[in-house]
Amino acid sequence: MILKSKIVLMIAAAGLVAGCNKSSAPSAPETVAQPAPQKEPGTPSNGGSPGTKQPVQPGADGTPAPQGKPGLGSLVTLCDDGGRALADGPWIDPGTNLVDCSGLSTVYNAIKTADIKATEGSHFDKLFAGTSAAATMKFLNERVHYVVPSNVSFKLTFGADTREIPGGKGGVVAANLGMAFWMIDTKFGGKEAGIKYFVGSTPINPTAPANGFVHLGESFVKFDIIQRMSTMIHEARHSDCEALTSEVCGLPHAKCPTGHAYADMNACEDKAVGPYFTEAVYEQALQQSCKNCSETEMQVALIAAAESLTRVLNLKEIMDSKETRLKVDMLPGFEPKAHRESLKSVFESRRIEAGVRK
Amino acid sequence: MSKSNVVIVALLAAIALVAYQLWSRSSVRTTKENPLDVAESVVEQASPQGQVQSQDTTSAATTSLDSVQPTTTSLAESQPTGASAAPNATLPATTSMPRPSAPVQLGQTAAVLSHQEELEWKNSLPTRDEVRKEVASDTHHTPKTLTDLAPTFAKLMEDAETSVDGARVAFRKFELCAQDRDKAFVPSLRVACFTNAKRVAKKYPVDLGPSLVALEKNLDPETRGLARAYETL
Repeated sequence: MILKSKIVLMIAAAGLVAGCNKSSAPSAPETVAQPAPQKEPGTPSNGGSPGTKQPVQPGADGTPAPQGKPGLGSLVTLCDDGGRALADGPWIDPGTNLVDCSGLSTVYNAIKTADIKATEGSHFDKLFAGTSAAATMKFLNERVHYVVPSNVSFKLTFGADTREIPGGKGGVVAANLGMAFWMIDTKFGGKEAGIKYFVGSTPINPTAPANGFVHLGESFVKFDIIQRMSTMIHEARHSDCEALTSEVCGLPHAKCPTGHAYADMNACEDKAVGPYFTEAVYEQALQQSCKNCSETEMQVALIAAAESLTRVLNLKEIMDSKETRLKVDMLPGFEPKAHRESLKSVFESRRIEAGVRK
Repeated sequence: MSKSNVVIVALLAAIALVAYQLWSRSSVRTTKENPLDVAESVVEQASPQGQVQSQDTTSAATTSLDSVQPTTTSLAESQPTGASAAPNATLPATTSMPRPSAPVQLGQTAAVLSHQEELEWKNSLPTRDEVRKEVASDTHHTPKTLTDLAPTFAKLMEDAETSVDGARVAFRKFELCAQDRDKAFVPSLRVACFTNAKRVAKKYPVDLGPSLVALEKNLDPETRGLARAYETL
């Protein structure tokens, strides 16, 4: 039973984490502008200065800017020195370099300001409990709480044994490691068994599936804005559970069956409403209704949504469902806001560790 | 309490303590399993370094799946169950697909492009094999060969906005891609093309309405089903 449980965990966690590491050559030229000098401090809500918003030339993400629509990729948001916290987003680890920080800030700004309007009663509404960008921000903020860049490692210790998890190299985009840690913790006894987790040298405690520690890969900033946005939505969905047991938390990916375009690859999903379906819903809303997206961005959204849908093996079941709310479960008693606030100590400790001046 | 009783109690307490420690360790490592090994394997699978390794990793995951009886209902459901739930169930898993050959004659848009132009257009689109190779090395990401089409598709849509001639060309190109009688393209590309064709036709219902009806009628069931699901998300 223990052996089977271990393998169950390994499979589930492998599917979860493997599914999040998207690897590819960059699809667009690097978009992040040079860091700007610090401007007005603003009113940070969680211990750091917000990034400074600086408009750049349309097409900063490499896409043409037709018909007066510069697109979401033009809204580059920069991080200033010492500013590693988003006023309306996750903690960004203080060890983050300015390029990654700005890349992430830009994504959150784009998600927040995307002028989308889904239909009431649509799958968007069922998933995000709303029909606008505000609903997707709420969804994200309940599930992604602390983002760690590729240049900072996670570490696990078990007794005298230590393993380091470096940032994703090559084409890796992102991974919801927090969920994987929670699953390992749950299966192997956690603190009582002597397992410890660290970001850098700062201890962290994955007490819930939605503890929301997301590790960015080197390639994150090299992707176009639409794929970065949908990557965050995809990762966020991995923080949920289909049912409230550890075996079905994380909504791991599944092997595509014989006959599928990606047969025998771990590139599909068949669990309830998984990350690919969630991502497809978001991308479809961008393509169908986004008023401040460029046409190229909408085409990326269309292609990505169609691609995600082909990987949803239980698509018919989902579409036929009469549920008014799609299952989006968190463990009972989990309070996202309180949890986010509790991570301030991690942020402050990492600030000291990373030598970031206030 | 006599001295001997104290000794006995102390011994029993010591035995109980040792037994508890052994039990609590065994509940974690009955199989001598180190959770850090598990974590490492998880991360290794999550960070494929190159195509070969990612293939090996996939194989390893497959072996793990095959060797274990599922312990929960959810795991049983996650085993590949075959055709019924798979959007691509009816397609054979071939390793090589032909490049598209003769152009498809459909409705009144057939004369918009020359035969050569149609061939060039279809040859410019990534084939099923090319996409599959890319997915094999990067399993969880929309292939770059597909997203690289976005600027081209965007230009076609913009041309369609400006004139009916532009719309006819755009529709024909999307039609050729969506129709795909040779099944040379992956389903997601066919769906994207059909969705764009529909969008173009909606702007010019008189000129392109009948062509859209014909195209939809001639779509393969998989593309039609996915396109409908996409529209009704």
